[in-house]
Amino acid sequence: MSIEKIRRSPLTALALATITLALSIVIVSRGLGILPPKDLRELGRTIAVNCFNPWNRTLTSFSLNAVSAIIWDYRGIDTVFETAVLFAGIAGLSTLFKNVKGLTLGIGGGSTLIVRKSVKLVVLLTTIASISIAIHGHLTPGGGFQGGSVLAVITSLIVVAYSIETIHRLGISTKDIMRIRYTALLTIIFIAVIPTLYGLTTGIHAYFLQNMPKDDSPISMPTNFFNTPLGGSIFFLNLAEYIAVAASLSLVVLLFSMRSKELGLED
Amino acid sequence: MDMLIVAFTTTAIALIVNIVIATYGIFTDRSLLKKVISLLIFSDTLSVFAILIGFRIPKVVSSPSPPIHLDIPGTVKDIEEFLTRTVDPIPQAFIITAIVINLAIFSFLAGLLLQYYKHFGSLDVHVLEEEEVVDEVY
Repeated sequence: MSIEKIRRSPLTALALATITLALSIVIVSRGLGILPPKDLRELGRTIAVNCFNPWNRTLTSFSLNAVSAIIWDYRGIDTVFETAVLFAGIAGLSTLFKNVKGLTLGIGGGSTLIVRKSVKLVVLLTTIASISIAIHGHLTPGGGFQGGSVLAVITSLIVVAYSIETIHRLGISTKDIMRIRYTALLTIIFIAVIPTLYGLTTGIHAYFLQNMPKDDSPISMPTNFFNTPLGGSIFFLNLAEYIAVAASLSLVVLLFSMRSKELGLED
Repeated sequence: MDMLIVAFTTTAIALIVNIVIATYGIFTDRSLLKKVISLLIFSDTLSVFAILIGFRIPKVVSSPSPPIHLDIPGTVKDIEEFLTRTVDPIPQAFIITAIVINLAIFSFLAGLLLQYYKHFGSLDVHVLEEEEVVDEVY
């Protein structure tokens, strides 16, 4: 029996159907515990209590959004590595297309006038919305990644409605976008080491990615911008992540919308 | 309340069916592109599943709310009120990390598929095996 036949055999389908049935029975008979629970789990409760808690200054992050508090404060190192993985993934993609010749000026006229005019309006609104999502990441739902993804939509809108030559005419090349990504990533690392550098120069104990004062370290990032909570470093890290993600996704969109000649796929 | 539990269980089972169908696609489909799409459906379903686990039915208020303070808490009571209605923030935070990593992986996979297509002129997994068989016959 060839591998092909085994793959296509009804046995595979039967085994998978059995898995579905077994898991469904387990869930219906509450074998995984009572779902959905009525109380918060202990860890989730600790974070929900402390995400904005001026009465517990050593554990709070002054962020109204608990998810942003986890992403950039309680599990900040995870997110730094996550951004590094995104960086590595896009770097791998650029290595696959190392023969990229860059955009060439073609004829591409884009869509009709109606589409182009409406895209102009939508691009403006989308930019404002994406900036708002990113800079209010610690106050409302959203954050750097979400804002960056929204901004990257603009690149695909321009490519679809105006043609890829417009990007070329605007003077944006893949190398420029790569430079923006490097800068944003370095900014994230720089913000992460600010407390450490400050501690080194003043002789005070401080941690990497420290946001609010701890028991053995009084160093703190700014908590308020006038009357608005700033969430310490969360605001700045969200901003840097916004630029990094927007640049990364725009690069992906640009690479995949290039012609195979420009990508160096045709000899 | 019972209806909510029935809806929750139905969603969970629907997600499991989705995962299994995606697994079937990864195993059996010949086209690499469709395999990658199956993998994408698989990972996204897992993300939804993890967020579903963070859901809860609060005892006091009728429906749960996102883990975000609607206003700056002025007293400790505001935080206690927040705890009665918020869902678990941890699955959501982990899933946003997972989504970013998925995005990096899948854009890389898409690039690999383009190169594969350039090399073999097809996205079929068995294109290599078939070429070998043809060589043996002639």
